[in-house]
Amino acid sequence: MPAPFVVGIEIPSAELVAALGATLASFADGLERSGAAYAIIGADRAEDGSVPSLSPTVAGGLLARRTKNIGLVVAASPRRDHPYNIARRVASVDHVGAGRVGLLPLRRDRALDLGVGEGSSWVAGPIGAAELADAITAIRKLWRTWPIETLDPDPAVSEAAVIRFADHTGVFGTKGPLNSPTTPQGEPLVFWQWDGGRDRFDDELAAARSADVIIVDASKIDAFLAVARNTLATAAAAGQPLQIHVRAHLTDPNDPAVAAWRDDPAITGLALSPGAGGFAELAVRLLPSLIATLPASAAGTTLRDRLAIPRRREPDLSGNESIFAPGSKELA
Amino acid sequence: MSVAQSRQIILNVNVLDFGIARAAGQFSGLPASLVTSADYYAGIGRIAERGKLDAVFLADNPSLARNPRGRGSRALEPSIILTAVAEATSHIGLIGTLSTTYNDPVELAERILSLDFVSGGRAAWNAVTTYSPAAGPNFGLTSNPDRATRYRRANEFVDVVVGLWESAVTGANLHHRGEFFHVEGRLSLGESPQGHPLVVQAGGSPQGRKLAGRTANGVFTAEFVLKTAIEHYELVKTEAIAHGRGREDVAILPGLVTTLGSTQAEAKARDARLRELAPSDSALEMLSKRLDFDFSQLDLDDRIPPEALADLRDPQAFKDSLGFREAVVEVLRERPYTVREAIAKFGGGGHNRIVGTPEEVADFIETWFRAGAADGFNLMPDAFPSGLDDFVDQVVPILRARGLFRHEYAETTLRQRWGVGLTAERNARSLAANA
Repeated sequence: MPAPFVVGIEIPSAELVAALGATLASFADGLERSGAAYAIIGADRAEDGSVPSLSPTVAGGLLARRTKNIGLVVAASPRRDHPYNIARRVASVDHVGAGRVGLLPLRRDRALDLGVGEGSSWVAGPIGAAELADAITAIRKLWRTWPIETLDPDPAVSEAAVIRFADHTGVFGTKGPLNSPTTPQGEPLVFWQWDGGRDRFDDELAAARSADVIIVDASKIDAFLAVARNTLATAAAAGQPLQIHVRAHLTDPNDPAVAAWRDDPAITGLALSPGAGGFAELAVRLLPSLIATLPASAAGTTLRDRLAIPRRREPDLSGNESIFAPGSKELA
Repeated sequence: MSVAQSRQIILNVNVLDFGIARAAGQFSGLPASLVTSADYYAGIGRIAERGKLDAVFLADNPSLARNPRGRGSRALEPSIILTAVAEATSHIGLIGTLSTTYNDPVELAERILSLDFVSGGRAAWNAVTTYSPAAGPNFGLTSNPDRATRYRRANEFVDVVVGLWESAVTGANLHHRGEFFHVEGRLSLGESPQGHPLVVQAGGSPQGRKLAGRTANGVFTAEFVLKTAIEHYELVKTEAIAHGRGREDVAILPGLVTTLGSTQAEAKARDARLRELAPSDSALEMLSKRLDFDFSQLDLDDRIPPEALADLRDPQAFKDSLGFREAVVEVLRERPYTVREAIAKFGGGGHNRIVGTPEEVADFIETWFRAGAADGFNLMPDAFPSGLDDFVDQVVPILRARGLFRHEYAETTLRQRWGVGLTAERNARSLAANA
């Protein structure tokens, strides 16, 4: 299935805080009308912890209730937030949003720095690419532990579905099962913000393969593809396609860079961050004109459908121990 | 006139998904998959707001504690459910339980403060230490930390969270260095519409009461006996005063399980139907767990042996809730009970339970309120939505007629409703008084 070319949009945290109350309805309406495939909530927390910002999953839950179509990608960092809690809240938002949600894991959430230094709350030492990838694997395993089919009214269906332990023993250990079941899109999508500096290139690329979409800054995309293009092609051939979205500030919908990115088969989307004109300028004026120049994106109500990202095979829990066999006794 | 007579009763509803009864979902015809529906919880929030209740309360435990087949299980995280309830309502308070053992205080402080912003100043945090043994391994631990460690961490955790919230009001950075946490700075969000969220605490252990007296604006307790409830009420109030707070700064809110019928016969029939639908051994298992004694070897008509009610050799090592055990044991020591009688009395839970008419429920509430055993209750209807609808439509009007409960919301924030001042204001008052 060829990936469509999609456009995402970053919501500036401070603008969402400012929109709370009477203007939230028009803010949410602007998001929907922009035509963006997804909005990223809390991405700016990786760079600046001083601007007013809501907890991204709470903001995601709020916008999931206020919108019907747009995808919602929420940031979270395992520095202070254990993968079990991240997995649970992001899956919860995905249920509320009927399968429109993604996770953007951050190495560092500066809004929550507050003295944590280079350490973290749950493991010794800083969170680099490898640690972030381990958190993603733990989260994915947890997302797969409790099949929603166990809640089916037909006992033949509910009893055939098996609840399993995650039994993840990496950097972030977690037993599971998660107390949020599989979601309307199976599980949320995972995004990766390419750093391209702190780790060796190959190490970060290996880690980023735990995600579904890698977001690469426009300033780094050429250097990234010069090295990664073959790896991406190999991954796609092996049935583990990775999408690459270019993160850019854009002031002109007819910017020639857009056409070049669109024509590159390795690039499948843009993640636009607002410039000086702010979110309204981007969402209301620039985005609809830009999207009009692009082919229609894939149909579907979930973010997975709209980005045409198949549910990956790994991690496979089929060999893990099960819990709550049908008819088993319980203590509740 | 006593203070209790001039005050209004606080009523929260504890939304245990489909209800506290084992077969609540089946009784109400709710499909198990509804536990993933924000609309379901929003609808419950609207019923509670129609009754002008104080707040929606969500219990929580970060583990999949039971088999969800057939009857569902908590499937959405509390702050996300409460965000959906906030969107569907305009006045009702939103109390979310979050563990001090399995969260980070900076992240938690921001999350609940965010809910406070989103809801226009209606959020509160119920701080619990989490006793479920299933939780620890989800966070990379081989088992739960022991009770003493959990409470040391909880005390410091609450200080950090409240300290961060106060710094959001004052604009001054928090400087905290303790056994568990080192925090420097303040959150990016400033003062919320109610200043900052309130703190509620659940738990009836001695450590829990101390923590509540020192820090909480409300305490969710488990009490069966009026006399003991009055003693515990005074313990927490005295603790609050010892920490420079007022008696009114902390509200005592026992759980109250209700099965309502317009006549006694109707209530009993509803109760019988709920029992009929539940597996026969579920209540026995619950009692075994609560008391840490295996009842499966006894006949239902056997007397409960004294060893089941003996003091624990090592309370700190007890895996379940000490507060619940203490409350249940106290009642079972009053006279000989058979296993069957004990199950009927406790209904599988650890709270007072009334099967009766709206008048009987209102009488119970008024008696405990006027006796100084409770400032209000955390209501636990047997089955949603009918159990809450009936309470709102039949019990609330009686309490209003007796002058004990509001007709309309007079305030928009939970802090105003509960009459709780900000610590910063209190400190300013105290400084002025000492000047």
